[in-house]
Amino acid sequence: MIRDSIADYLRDQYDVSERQKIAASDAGWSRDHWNAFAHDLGLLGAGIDQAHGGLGGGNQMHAIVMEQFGRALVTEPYLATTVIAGGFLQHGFHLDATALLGQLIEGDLIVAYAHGEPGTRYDLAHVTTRAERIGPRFVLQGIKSTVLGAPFASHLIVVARSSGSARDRYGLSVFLVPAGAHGIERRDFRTISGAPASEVTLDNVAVPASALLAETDCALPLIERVVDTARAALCAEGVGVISRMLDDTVAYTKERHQFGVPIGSFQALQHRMADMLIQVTLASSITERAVKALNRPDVERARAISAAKAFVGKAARFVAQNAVQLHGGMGMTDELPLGSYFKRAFEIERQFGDVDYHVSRFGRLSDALAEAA
Amino acid sequence: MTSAIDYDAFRNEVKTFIEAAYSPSLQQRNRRQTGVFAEPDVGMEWHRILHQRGWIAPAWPTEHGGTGWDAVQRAIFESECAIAGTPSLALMGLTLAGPAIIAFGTDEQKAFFLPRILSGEVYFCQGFSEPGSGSDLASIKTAAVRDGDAYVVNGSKIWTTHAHHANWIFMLVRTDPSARPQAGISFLVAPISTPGISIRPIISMSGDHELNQVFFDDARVPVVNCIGDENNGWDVTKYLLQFERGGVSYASIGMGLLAQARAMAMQQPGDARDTLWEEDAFRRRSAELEIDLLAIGAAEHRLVEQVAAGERIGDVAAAVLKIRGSELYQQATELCVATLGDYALADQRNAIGLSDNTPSIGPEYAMKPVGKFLNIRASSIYGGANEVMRGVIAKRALGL
Repeated sequence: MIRDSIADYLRDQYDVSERQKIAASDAGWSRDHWNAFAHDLGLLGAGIDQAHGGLGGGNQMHAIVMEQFGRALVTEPYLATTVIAGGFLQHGFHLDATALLGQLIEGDLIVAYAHGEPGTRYDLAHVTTRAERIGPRFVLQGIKSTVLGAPFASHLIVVARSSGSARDRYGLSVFLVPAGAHGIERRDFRTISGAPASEVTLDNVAVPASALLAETDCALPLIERVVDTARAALCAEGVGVISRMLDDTVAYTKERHQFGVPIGSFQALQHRMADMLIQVTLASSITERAVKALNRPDVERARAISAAKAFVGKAARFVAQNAVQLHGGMGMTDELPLGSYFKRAFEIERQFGDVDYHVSRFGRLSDALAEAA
Repeated sequence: MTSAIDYDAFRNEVKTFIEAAYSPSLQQRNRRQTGVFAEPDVGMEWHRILHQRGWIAPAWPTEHGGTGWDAVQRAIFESECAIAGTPSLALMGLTLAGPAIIAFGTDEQKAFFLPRILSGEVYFCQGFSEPGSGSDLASIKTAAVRDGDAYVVNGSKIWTTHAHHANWIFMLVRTDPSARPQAGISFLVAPISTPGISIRPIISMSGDHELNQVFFDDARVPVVNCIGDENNGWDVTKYLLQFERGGVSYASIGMGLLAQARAMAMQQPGDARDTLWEEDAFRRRSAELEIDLLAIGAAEHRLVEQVAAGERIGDVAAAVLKIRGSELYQQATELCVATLGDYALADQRNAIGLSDNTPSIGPEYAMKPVGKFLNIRASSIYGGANEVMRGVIAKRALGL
């Protein structure tokens, strides 16, 4: 079972100290583990369709992988490369899609997704980076704010506006750009959980029309579908993170003694941990529901994803904050893995839309669904 | 007829002082302070400004350097400071060691410590919790064995904020292991430079270094450094808990953060609306938090009036304020984080650590909220964990 082989590998090769070592390294990620994911475990192709050389496990596979990655706090770029770039390439518009997917499965194509900008928030249609058509080329101009994995990516997927005004749903184009293309400048930083990221400036970056991943101006529906698969994957990762935090908290409260007894014997704390288990259980269930909905028509899919992302975001907040609280002073330090899990839960809550955003989106989509009925 | 204090005039006096004294340079440096307490380069600058004005220790008796204000004036002063966002002072000397020495100290101890705490020359850290004694503080094990005119101290304290900045430490030590736990504790003070005292940094989840573990390895502390009688340390501790009460206005802190969140939200793009401030969900969150802060502010105000009338703040009232206040503080820091969008993911510490001029990742106001949010997860844990405080309410208010 692939879940077991991933879990075994991570337990044996990617423990807490290994993860800390990776985060503390200059690179901030591990090419060795990435190669192992590609070659030893066949993970990078497991979710890619068989027509493109993968195992055909689809979104269910992504969820299985991401949940295990969440439990171990794996920082390597499965989401941006396999889920997002894999999603765009499998759409089949890009002329070299098949070859590129082959490279991706081998671990040789590492992608970072550049969408959000300093002046935008969670609405995917809100893009001001310009893609101006000049003859056979597009020239990209703008700034992308928090591009996860950009420091070590071989390619960026850049969403830019080829026509229309800033928030128009029509007019978006999406490009696969080599990371070293002339005119790309990066300011590298780390996320709070230690993942490498960059603010990317695109200054007259010329790309051929063959870099397009979808039809000019018409990319938003595809972008929304691919980002929804990423949101589902993040939900799965979140379930892994919080299930591990619950396990650690239960173990801690059994060991920690105050007033002569284990603090886990206090009913108030037992009930709190029971509530945490409820949230983990429901987060897992709604994530499973969302993964299944990825194949449904657009509005239904989007609504199911927003429901899951909102729910998992809230559940992650509840479980993570209570895990820290129940660890007392120890929960505040960087010494226990708990702090790193807390910070990853914080990031997952906010990536590709926070709770408020998805609750609002769910409401709007519910109206749309009702109107269509 | 009694002469009433003109509280409005007083508030104006405080406001005017803060406007003049809280310089733009200090404000700018304070905008990057994410810790529970400001780092000394920022905190001590504000400390010295207040000391020069004579306002550094509002709650101390006037004969020892206090301001002579009543409880209402003290609350006004604290509130105006919180609204202006002045640096969060390290209070271990001002609100703990100092009052302990005033109430229980000898004349020599008062003469040595009090002026130096006021000036900032003596910077205390607090040695209370131990690895095995958090909520159960009375179970502390750090031992102090009498040897001639000194105690020989062995053991360890943890979560010692700013031990690495302090030059003195006050600590609870066990001087009588055979007595009932609370009856065998003494309150000692010692220079951090004492041979046998060593410090290990503890890095917080935020990446900040505020906390430490302090080790005592046959450290000799003069017997004359005992505050109060030997084995009377628990009474000193209980007195300090009482003294601390009403000293923090969670309502003011929360309102200050709420104002910051509002200002940031007005500069952030929205999704359905042009700015985040116009988004229904954000407005509602902000309004609900403000209502909750008004409620706790009203409760604080009631207590201030009671104290001004000569009453004590009881355990239950203190627990109510501590529980709800810390939760609202956390919510307010979370609301500030919510304004940042994707920039909330960025670790700003590299920028903060390098120099005051290194630009933030994203807007300048993105520097502080996440670090502050992470550090303030501790507010429901320190000063009496909220679970323990709920137990106090259940027992003392409800008789359960």
